[in-house]
Amino acid sequence: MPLLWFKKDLLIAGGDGYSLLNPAAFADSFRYVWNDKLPNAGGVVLSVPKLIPMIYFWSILESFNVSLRTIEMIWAVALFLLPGLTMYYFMSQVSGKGWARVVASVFYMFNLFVLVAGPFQDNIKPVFIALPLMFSLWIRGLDSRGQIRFIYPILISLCSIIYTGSNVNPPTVAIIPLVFLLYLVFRWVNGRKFLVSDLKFGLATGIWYFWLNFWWEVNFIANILGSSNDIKKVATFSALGTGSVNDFLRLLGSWGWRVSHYLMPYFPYARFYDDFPLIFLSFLIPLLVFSVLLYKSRTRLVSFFALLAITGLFLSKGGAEPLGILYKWIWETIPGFWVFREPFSKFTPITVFAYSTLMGFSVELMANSVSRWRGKFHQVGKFLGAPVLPVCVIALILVVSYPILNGEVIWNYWNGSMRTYHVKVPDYWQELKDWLRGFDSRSRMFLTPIGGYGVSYNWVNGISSADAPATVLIENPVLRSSPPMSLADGLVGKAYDMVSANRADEFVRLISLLNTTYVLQQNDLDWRYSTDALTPKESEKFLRSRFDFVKSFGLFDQNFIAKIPNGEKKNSLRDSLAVELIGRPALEVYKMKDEDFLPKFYVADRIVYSNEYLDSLAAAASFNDYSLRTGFYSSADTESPKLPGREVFEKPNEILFQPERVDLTGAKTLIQEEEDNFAMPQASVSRDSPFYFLVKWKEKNLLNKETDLVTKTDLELWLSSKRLVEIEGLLEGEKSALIHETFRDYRELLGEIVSNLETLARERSDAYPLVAKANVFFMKHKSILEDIHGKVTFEDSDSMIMESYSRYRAVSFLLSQASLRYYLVNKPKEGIYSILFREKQNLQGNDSENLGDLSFSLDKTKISTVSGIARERGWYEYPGIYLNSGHHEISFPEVKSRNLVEDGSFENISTSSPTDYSFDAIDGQKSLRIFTENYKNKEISIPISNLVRGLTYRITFSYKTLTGNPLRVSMWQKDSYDSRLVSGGELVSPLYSFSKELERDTTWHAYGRIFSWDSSKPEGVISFLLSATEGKSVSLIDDIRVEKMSDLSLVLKLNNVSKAQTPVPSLEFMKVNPTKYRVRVLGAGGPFTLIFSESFNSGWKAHIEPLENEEGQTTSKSYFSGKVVEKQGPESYLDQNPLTFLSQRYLPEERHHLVNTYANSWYILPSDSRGQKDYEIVIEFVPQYYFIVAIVVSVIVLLLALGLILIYVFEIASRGKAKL
Amino acid sequence: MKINFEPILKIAAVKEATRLQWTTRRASLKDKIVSNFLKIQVFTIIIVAGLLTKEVLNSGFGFEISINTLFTFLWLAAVYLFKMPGRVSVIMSLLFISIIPFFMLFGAQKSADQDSILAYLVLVLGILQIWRETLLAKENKED
Repeated sequence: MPLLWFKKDLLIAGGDGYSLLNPAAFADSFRYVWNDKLPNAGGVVLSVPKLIPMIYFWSILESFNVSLRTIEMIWAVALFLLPGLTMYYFMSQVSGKGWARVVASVFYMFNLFVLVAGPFQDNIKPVFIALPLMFSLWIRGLDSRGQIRFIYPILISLCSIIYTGSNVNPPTVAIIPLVFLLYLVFRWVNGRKFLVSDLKFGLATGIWYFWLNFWWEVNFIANILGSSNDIKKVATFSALGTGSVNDFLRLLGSWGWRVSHYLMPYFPYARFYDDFPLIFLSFLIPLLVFSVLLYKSRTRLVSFFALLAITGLFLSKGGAEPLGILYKWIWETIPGFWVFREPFSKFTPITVFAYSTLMGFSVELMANSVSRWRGKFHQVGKFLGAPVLPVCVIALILVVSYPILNGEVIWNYWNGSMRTYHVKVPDYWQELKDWLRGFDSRSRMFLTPIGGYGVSYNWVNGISSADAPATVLIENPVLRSSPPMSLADGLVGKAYDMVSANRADEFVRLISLLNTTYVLQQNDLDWRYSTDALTPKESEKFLRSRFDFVKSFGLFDQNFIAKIPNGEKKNSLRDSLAVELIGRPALEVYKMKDEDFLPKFYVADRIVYSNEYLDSLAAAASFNDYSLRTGFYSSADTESPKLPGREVFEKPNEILFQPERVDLTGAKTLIQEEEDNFAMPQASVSRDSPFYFLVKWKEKNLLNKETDLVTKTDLELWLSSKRLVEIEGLLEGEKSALIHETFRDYRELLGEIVSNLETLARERSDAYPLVAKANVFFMKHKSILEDIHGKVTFEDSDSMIMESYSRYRAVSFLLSQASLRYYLVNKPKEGIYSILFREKQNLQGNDSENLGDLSFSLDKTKISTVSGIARERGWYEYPGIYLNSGHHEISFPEVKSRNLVEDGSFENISTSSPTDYSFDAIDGQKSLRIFTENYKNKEISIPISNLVRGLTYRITFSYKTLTGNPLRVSMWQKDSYDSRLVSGGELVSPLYSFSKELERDTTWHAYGRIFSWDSSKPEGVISFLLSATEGKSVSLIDDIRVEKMSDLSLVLKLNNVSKAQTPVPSLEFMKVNPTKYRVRVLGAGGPFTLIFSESFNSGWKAHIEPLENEEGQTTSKSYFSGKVVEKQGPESYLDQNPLTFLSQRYLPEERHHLVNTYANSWYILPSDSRGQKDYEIVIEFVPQYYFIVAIVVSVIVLLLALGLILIYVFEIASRGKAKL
Repeated sequence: MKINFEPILKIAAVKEATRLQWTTRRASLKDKIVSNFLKIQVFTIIIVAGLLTKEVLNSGFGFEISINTLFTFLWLAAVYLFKMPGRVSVIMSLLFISIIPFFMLFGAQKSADQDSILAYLVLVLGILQIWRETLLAKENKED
């Protein structure tokens, strides 16, 4: 069957399964726990378990010159058939009849879950293979007695090798122990009295499993625990409550089942399952499965599998009803359970396993029942029972899962960024790989344009890939866009920002820190569907300006372009493929200029500290002040979060201080949102209730739990609102004493809130959303107090209310800076700083602000120093600003920029169409009049030009509704708007920035909104839509303004903190393997900072050895006039006893630092080498030694297990006893 | 001094009689409820069906959870009072499952969702009943 899925000469790969292009490509690098090829700038790879069986399966067959396509076909057949075979084995252990086994096996292979998950799901499928086998052994082991019992844990553990690779996704394999545990519980409840022996059996299985899998567990567990929070942050996607039980009953329920992307649904055949006849046939499956419960002659196992089925259904439906709240509670409460964020794909295998066995039992019992018909139907019954019924059920199973049969399960459509899974790797990739092998296959390569998850490539058939195919297709380590899992990912992302901002110099500076040698421009990456990607033409211009072109591969000609599927509906976008690509090479290799290149090891010649690390680094990258070998350190990871504290070891030459930008723009937007969604709390327990003490107790507890001032103040804000609601309730009962008491509580809370907010506003920029929120709440508080003013009767009520008003004003004042660009400087090192700023985007002409003559305020005092000094790349410097180490504020006035709407006041509107304007205007003489009637819509579009991606804009206008329905305003990217019109009102591409229905107001009303422009195209459209029901709708609009909101990059620089200069020693370094480097230091005259451009990890340790001879080394490259030499030698997997790390004297971890936002550095003192000037520093990734030791342990355990089995088999054979 | 207990006894007797009367009434009411449980249940199901229909007609009615919970508890009560075997619950659940495609086919997605939730809950009940029956049968056999 799987062989039918393959098309001639094509592989099946794409999406998350992009590595199927050639999994053997990872074989070498996965032998090390530190992978210098796959993660950006190296990292610990959790995919090491994938070596077995998948990667070695490919590697071994490839070494016999079997083609990649044939290997994949064998793999597909194995993944598809083996689950059926193991299920057949399991059923043969628990059911007598052959048909039951066949039906169960067929269902296990062909079901709707397999259809949804995909037949190539290489994590789930091995679990499918192992589960029946292991469960069969588990049952038999638990039931066995005597000597034979010890053999089952060994066998179960050996079976676990089948799914070793699936352990990269722990939730996928978690179902196996879960099923085992459920069976244990089932046994005990069923009255088995072997509790202790069962536990011992389980423990023995666990121990064997642990040691047999120790080789991958040792680093995997340590790293996954260490990085689980990072993964949690990145893995924001969750599909907890998607789907309905009616889908889960049919083994459907994936979040994407009925979801569309771009032009097509993710599952084009999904609609058939909601239509006749498949809707009935698919529901026959659960009916057949659960009908087994109706037979009295069912076995004990049927009860277990029925329980397992409902457990599987409960877990796989996640937060969906019924009992979804229980799942959500488990999800939120049990540590680590967050990994089951897409429960359908993780738990449905349990249901599939249970369904398959129940289906087998059901058919068996049904066939038995039918074949026992008496009288004249006896023969018919026998015939129906034996072949007809099982065959019909098998036919039903096959029909229901028809896309698996006819190959539709393999995606083969064009849908924007989604391309076919039938792929052929273009020859030019192989040419590039071959060329690099001969030229340089070790150096890092930065990939452009920006890709990311789910980007498509214009190959002859096309491919969509979860990651860059270059990771599989070439041997060089690559740097590319990926979710920010590591620090290096952040720096890579910053480098792509420089591409978007068209800042080539800064891009070069940033990627040089990443030890980049080459840039690979992939013209075959479909830039049209990749956010922020430059077109091939733009990329070429950008790269040629700062890099040396080396070589190109492949050529897009007419013939090639004609073969690339291009189903784009928008003409301009569709045609741009040929316009951009014809005559252009598919791949272009560029090289860093020698003067820009930083080797993997070097000694820092200048030390710069900064607080906001990555942003400061990006800013510093644009200054000419810093030599290439400057080491950038963060002060943020020291004990004092803002003060550089590393002077103990490294004297910084300069300190860069990045003020915190207060996002008043965001705060203003937040006010809009808060106002839209405002809700006051409810006071379910009245103040005069005898249970009110419980409310007080709960609130006190909640407040005590809050340690962060922002969240605590937020809670206090909520509670203060609650107090007012309580007062409103008490007013009806005229309980003045209680009102007084409640108001006293309110005032206490209010006082604390205002005091907290004032402190926070000075110190934390992230507190401003809360200030905005408080402002909205206080507006509501004020209106409540105005309502109750006069109704309350206690003493001093007037003055207390007035005092509250003044406190509201104090908070409102905090936001009064809203017309400013506002920054906070928290505890800088005391000194005289220079303030440097520039526009965030590279703007020209009218859009650009005159920063050279800009007035700004420091701590509310206007600075009247000399004008700013123009510096390189748009920076302006204002020197001589004294800052002590307290809290400071810097503010710049907002700049009025030009209106991007040409005639926003509608003064030049044509007088020949009097229905289109009105003399009722708020600005000038005329306003725009929109009129419609009798169920018709009228839409007016107003073009905007010169919008720049990444900038923030403000739209304002006045409007009024004379009669009829209110207006709807929306902001569009022009192409999207045009394509919308082309489709006759159908929203083919609803890509608007925002859309809002305005208030129905018969007086002039002002509307304002802030929005960011995310499109690379500068043209936008404001659309006003007016609808009418019966009668007329008339609205007026006037004074439309769309203005850029200026945004600055701002850096404070403290010069010459220290002039410490030490002689920079010469270095000669050599890579032993990805986890070990030898660095020869020659002529060290004092302390120095050694920088190692590989991702920081505390597993990297350095120790000092005497110089060794240089046999086998050949000089390859020399940098900085011979001060740094890179040598190459043969790679050695293990060049010493792996246990020596136990006795090694490594440099103390206090001198191992994070540098350049991602890399390692060591501060080396003369005492480390005992005064020697020439020595060798060995840098090694110590966890690699754990890995090697763990491999040895697992191999010994494997041999022991096999030995014990052999001994047992011989013993049985010699006694002539029965089989296992 | 001779104490006349008669009025006190009378009061006590009246109180006792009243108490007995109430106990009898309560018992009688209970019997009535139990004996007419089927009718009550049918009546309730009609109400539930009515609510369901109303729910279908007016989207966002917001009674989903309460209806399912109500029905499940009613079913549980019926199972307990009428000592219905687990197979009956399973049959009920299978009936619910068989109706789902009709609802879906006619576009009544909300009803299909309701129906499937009920099917699942009753199925859970049925399977637990069957398991319990198996355990009880085993205990009886051992006795």
